[in-house]
Amino acid sequence: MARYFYMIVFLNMFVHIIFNVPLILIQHRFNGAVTSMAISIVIGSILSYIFIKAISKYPYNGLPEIFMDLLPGYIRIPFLLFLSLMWIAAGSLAIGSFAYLVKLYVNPEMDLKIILGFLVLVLIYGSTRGTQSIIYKTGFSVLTASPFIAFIIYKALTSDYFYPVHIKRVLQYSWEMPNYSSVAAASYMFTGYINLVIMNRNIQAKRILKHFWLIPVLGTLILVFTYLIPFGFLGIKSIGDFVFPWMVTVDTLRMEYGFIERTSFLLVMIFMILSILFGIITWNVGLELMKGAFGIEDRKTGKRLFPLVFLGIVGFLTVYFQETLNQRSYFEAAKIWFNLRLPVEILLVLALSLLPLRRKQA
Amino acid sequence: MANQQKIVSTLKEQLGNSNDFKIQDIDSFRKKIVLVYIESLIDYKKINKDLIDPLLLCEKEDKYLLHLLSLPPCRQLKTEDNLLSLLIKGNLLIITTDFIFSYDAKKATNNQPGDSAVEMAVLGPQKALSENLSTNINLVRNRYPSEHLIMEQQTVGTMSKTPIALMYDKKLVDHDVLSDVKKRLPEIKMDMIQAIGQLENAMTKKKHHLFPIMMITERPDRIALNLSQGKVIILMHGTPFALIVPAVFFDFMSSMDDTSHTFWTNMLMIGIRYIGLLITLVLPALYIALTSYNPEILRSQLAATIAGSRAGVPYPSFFEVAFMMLAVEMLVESSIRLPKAIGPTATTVGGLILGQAAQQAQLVSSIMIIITAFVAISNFTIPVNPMSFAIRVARYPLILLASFFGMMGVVAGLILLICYLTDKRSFGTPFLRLYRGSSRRIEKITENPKGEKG
Repeated sequence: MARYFYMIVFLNMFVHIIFNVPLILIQHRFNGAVTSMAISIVIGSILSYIFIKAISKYPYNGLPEIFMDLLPGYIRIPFLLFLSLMWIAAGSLAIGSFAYLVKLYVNPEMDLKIILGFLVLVLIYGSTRGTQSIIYKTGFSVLTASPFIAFIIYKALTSDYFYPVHIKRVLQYSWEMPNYSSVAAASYMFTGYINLVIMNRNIQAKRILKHFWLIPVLGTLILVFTYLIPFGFLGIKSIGDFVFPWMVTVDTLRMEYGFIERTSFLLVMIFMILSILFGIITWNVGLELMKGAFGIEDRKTGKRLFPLVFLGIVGFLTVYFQETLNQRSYFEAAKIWFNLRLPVEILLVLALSLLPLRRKQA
Repeated sequence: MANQQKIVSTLKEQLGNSNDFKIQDIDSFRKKIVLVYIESLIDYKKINKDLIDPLLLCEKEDKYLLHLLSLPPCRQLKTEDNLLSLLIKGNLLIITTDFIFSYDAKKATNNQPGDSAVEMAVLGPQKALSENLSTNINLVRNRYPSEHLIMEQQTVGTMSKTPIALMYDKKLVDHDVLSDVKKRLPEIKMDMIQAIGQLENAMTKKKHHLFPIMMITERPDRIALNLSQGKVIILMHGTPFALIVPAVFFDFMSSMDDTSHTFWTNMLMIGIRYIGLLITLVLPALYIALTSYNPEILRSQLAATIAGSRAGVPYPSFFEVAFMMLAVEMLVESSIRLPKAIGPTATTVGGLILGQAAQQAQLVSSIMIIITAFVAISNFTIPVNPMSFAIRVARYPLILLASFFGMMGVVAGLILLICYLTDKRSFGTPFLRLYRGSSRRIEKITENPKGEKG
């Protein structure tokens, strides 16, 4: 089952690259994006190692069960609620951005509300399935998407419009002071491991540690590729004008002999597979955390209404916010979430690794 | 003596004046022996050989009784036995003054295995199961000569009392599945069960489900293979089909011929099957999405060709697809049950005239005709019948999603389908998941068979 864990990590890296990370990193491309990335690779790897190590001591237990022993109720319940909302927000932000992308590229005449509403319904159906089923689904989605991703990267690197000189130019701005915002955004790449808070019920964390080197290696590769390639196409100055730099990059690629000529549609479909999967995973984890906070048992006990009502409200709010905020302010909201996420993640990792120690001493 | 008369008269009373109910008195050893049986169920030859001939040869009653008890299908009855149900099951009752014996003389009907007609194999074994339970058990035991093979007999159906046999390899079987099956079988409350599909539906807990979670097969070789994979087989009297529990998605995509081809041939065959699956599932939906919503996805020449062929068609692509799908589904449905003499007419009228004329009348585009044919043909590449039917149904939600949301709807529909399939469990076994290793040995028994954890 450990391979599913790496698939989820890979999925996270990829989804963030598309939607949020480049926006922030590219904003800071002249003041410390590269150093921030280097720092975030270290931070991300260390955090994930500590976390996996800590959670592997509780085989087949999710965070709610672990905290049941470690924390008193008045801290545990608010903390789990807060975490749950963080997770739900991650899924909502990603699906919101994706709906915007669909509106731009696939269904320009359709109302954004309808697109997002439909996607939210898909997410609600998907995320109310069992965690184990979602893990199986992850296997299919990632396996379908990854050959196409490899193909697109290959296509990009061999394209006539790819000028490595721009990459050299942007690398000249490497030695700048890193800043918090970029570090928070870039370290978000590595955050796939955190889904173990629930998936630890199904995935054995011990087996993951055997291949742990994959996380930093994969992370570095994806970060480097996805951050640098768009520069080669768009130039260091004008890249700042685009909301989805990768979409524009891929739109320059043609498949001369394919049924589909514009590679960008391929990319949209891959994004769709991956971002819906990402939404399903985050919402499922958020839902499980919420259930854990309130002590609601499995759906076998007949409490199937709670997930539906809860996710219904969440879905409505997602659509509502997407409607009221324009795209700029939507990304501002995403940025706030990013900046909040890093401390919360560190807090969670520390809590999980240090609390058992306190218990041992007492 | 009085007792003997009393039994016979009560039986007479209970069965009424059914013409095939026979009572035969034989005077022998200076006593009366009464044979009671239902004529239509009894094999005369067997009775003559086993009961009548020895009766004439034996000099003493003790000796004859000994002979009766030595016959394997014969047993002495106790007072609590229900004589009537024994009679109806095809037993012959031998009522002497002191004892009652029952002798199983059931006439074996339909016990010749026919050629396999539903799951064909080119190079594999050619014979299917018969309609007789004991012949079928014999066939399975012959193919799976293992001392661990267990057979348990039960009946299902409150009225039909259809005999079924549960077979499994006790060393390899997944015990959770087995106990689940054993728990579900007595819970079935149905009067008449005559087909294995009925049993399947009765055993499935969810009422509205699309994909089969048990596999119906007529091939003894598939049964033997599945026994070796640790599955439970249910054979039923009166049908040439068996039920395999549990079954996962990839089982339905495998044909028994897969074992007899060379590696690369095999790869091609399996590849074609999966491509067929994908085509039959998404092509109509894709047509709607690509003509009505996102023609820009296709390369411009292709988009222009499609648009050109659709130029005379007066309504949106959704109706076009709906018409043609309706026509082809009707064609398939009608040709399944038509007598062989009329069959070709239906296909000619349906296929040639409808397709050709509809296109010339500009009711549908010519590309739609190609797509219709393609979809119908590729549906037949799915080797196991219930799955191919299920896929036929699964196509329509996709068509609906495509006509509302275009390309996004198609992809979302596929994602939902995968969600649905991965969430399905066949007796606790995940219905669809990726796994490494041979596709034929689905459950390695040494590992955690469920794969739910670890």
